[in-house]
Amino acid sequence: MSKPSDLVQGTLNLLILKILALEPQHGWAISQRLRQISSEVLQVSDGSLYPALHKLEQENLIKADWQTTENNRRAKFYSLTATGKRALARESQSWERLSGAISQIVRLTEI
Amino acid sequence: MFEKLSLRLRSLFRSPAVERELDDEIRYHVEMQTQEFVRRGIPEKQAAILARRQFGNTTLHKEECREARNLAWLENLAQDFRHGFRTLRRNPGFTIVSVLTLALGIGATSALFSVLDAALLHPLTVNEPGRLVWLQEFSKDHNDSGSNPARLADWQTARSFSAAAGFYGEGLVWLSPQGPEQLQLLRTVGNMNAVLQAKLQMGRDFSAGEIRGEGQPVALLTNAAYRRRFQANPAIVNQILRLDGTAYQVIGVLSPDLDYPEDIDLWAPAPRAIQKTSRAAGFLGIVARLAPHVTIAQAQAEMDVFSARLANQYPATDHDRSAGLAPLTDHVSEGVRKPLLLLFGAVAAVLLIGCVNIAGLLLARGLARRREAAIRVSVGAGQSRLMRLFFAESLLLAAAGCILGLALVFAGVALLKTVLPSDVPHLAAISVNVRVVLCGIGLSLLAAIVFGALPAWQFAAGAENPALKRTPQSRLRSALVMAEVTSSVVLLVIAALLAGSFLKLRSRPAGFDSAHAYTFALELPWDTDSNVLNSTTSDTLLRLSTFPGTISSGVVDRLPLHGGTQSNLFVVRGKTFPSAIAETEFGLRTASPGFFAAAGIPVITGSVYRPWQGINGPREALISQRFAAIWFPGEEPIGHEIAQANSTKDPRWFRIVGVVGSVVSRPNDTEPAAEIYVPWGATYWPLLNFVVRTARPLTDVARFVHDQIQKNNTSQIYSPVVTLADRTAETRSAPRTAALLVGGFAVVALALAALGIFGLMSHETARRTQEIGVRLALGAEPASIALDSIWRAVKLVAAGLIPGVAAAWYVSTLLQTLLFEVAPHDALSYATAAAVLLLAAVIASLLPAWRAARINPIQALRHE
Repeated sequence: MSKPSDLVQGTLNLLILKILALEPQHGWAISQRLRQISSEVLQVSDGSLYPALHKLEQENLIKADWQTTENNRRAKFYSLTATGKRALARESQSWERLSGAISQIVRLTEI
Repeated sequence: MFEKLSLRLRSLFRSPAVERELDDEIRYHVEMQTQEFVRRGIPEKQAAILARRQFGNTTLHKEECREARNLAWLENLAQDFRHGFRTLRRNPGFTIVSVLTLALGIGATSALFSVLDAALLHPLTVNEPGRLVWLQEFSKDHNDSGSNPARLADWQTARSFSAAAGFYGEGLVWLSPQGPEQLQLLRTVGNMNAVLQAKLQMGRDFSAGEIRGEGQPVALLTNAAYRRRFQANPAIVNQILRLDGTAYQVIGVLSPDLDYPEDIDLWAPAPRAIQKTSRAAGFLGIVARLAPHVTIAQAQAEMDVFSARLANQYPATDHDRSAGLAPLTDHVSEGVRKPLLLLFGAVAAVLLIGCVNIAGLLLARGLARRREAAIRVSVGAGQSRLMRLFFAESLLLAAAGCILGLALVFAGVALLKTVLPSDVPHLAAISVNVRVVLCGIGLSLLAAIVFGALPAWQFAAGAENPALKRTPQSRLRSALVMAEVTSSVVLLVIAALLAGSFLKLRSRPAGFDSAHAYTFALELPWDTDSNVLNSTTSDTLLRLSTFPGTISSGVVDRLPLHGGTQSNLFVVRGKTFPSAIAETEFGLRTASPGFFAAAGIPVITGSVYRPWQGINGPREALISQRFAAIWFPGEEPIGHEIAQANSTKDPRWFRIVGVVGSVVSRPNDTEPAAEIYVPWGATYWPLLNFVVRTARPLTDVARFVHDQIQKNNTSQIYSPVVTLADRTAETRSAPRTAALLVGGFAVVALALAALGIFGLMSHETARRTQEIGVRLALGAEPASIALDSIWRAVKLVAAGLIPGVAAAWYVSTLLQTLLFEVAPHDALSYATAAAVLLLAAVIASLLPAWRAARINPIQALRHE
């Protein structure tokens, strides 16, 4: 599976924003973190992370600059912009509302 | 097809730097992942493979990244335009007015640009036009004067020129299968083609002998004549054309690129006899090509040395003569440069005012859309995105205006061709070319920036910063209205000056009476035998006198107001004059005795001379009143004898037999001319202007001339009969056109400015509703509220008047040469312009003021 489904794509953006809200990261570190926090549930190939990053950068939600890593390599670090922070707050809110609503519906059918 | 386009678009946006970064980023990721696997104990080779596998299809992901970048950009753009389009569609009134304003402005400006392009920017299409110079000879007093073949031969030896040649024009009659036609012949002296470097499209050039006027007469057809008169049939080459009885062999056709001199049908070397004319003659125009690496200043320096040497060598003819060089391109467009630039400036000013108006409307709409901007910002739109959003609307407006405007250009060019005076170079050939279209597109972009930038900035800034919302808004609009007023003042002042100048020109007493007078012309070749010339003249005059109803008829070398007199020094037998008087400019004309009564020029004292009866007959002359006033003040001029000063040994004395009224001889002269008239035949002049005075209508005269004169003389073509009034008014058509066009533009500018004032004041009234309500509640008179409103508009216009008058002051100084008897700082014109604008301000603010006065205080306060 090389291209995430639409649902995953939407959540992927949210997850990236969330990860970057903690601290600026380069692509590989983001992919590592994604794997960790989603407990490997999100089955995306590492490569599909990058189009998402570039799109977010284009939309001015995140910005990128080249920095030196601790082992003295140049890597592209992504960080949240002010717009990105607002978008994250908005998206997580609506996500919570949506997921809350969905889980309620799901439970309803179970009864 | 669409995919291809999008692929091309994408590669267009693909920059090497971005590509390299993308490669680096992915390589870094794979390396880090490999290290990670190695750390977990996987052998390095396998780790690298695993890391790459986990990354997925690199090429695909790269492409997706590129797409994410480019498409996001394109998508945003498309979104902005879609949004702009929707907004514009929701406001059809605003959209239609804006697009029409822009279309008219862009159309008119581009149409005038097409004229500028042809007449000023590319007046010549010959090879290296910048190396061509016009050589103008001057007699003493710096009067323009024609050259002659002998002097041309001297100029040809100048080292500054790689070639020099002379020419003069001649109208010849060709008996075509469809009947007689007048052909315009360019008589060349010297090798004209060496100067212009025009290639032939077929046939051969003149041989060296033919250039000198030797051998059988030969001619080269111009491309225009080849196509128009000979249907581009190559069989015409080597055929014989009979022109005025002489057989010319057509030896070739000139290049279609050759456009100088204009309106010529064929070239033929001047006859041998003409090429041997004395140094005293003046009929040649001279063009030369500068030698390689010679500047025009260096060439001019050589001319000055030549002039000094020639003055020594030939004191009788070349004394006090000089020669000036000018780029031929300048010479060609000399007379039309200023009027055309003026018109272009005027129409561009109208476009600018139109843009400012649209900017004002956009600003007002921006205010109404503050909430929308605030919402957009709150959902994450950045300031630049907001500006882009708003600017997309402006671009759409400009694009629509551009398309419609370019459609209008064609109509504009057709209109300009009919209203512009015919001395505009290439007038007939003006077309809507690539440069004109580019000019239209450029103007539209510029317009979008002019009217879109400020409102977009205000829209975006107002949303981010609430403090910016109110006050600068009206200040901005006031500034825009002031700018409109400023441009309108300039246009109005110029229009008033031109109109005043034209009225003065029209009401100037010209010294002749054109009512019931008709005129037609006959051009004979310059080598017409003088016996043929005289018999043609007397024959025509005789027939004219048989027309039932002719009161009088005559012939003259040049009509009044048609300029160009043969000016020369003269002497009065037995008298000497102080040099101030002796060197005063005067004109020498030749006319038959009947001319004076026919043209309504009164005889003041004495009587009209008798007809010329040959060199041994009586030699009599008339002088104009002005001439008498200068040379014979307080003295009886009749009986004195005068002669041309340069007829050295045996002067031909003419006895003054009378004084006639003075006429204005040149279109822009303010004073009537000092002139001497000698009988027709006393000097050689083959260009005949007949004048008939009769109570019969024009059609009768025209029919008589056609049936009784033209029919009996098919070898010559008489020009159509027109009224003397029309013929002499031709010289005023250029100032009239300029006054009308600039006046029209000024009216449009005024209307637009008034519209701008109206919009601003209406908006102000709406904004101040509550304030006015409070005032009314506190007892203010509605009338004083209304007056206050009007007063605000007047103050605004007055503020715009100051820079406007300053700008008009400067511009009118540049245009001084276009004005006739009106000072560029004519107070009346300035006062009129200012008064008109103030009046417009009052009228434009009447309705808003009335609305302000009718505000209901209770409603206005409750509104709060």
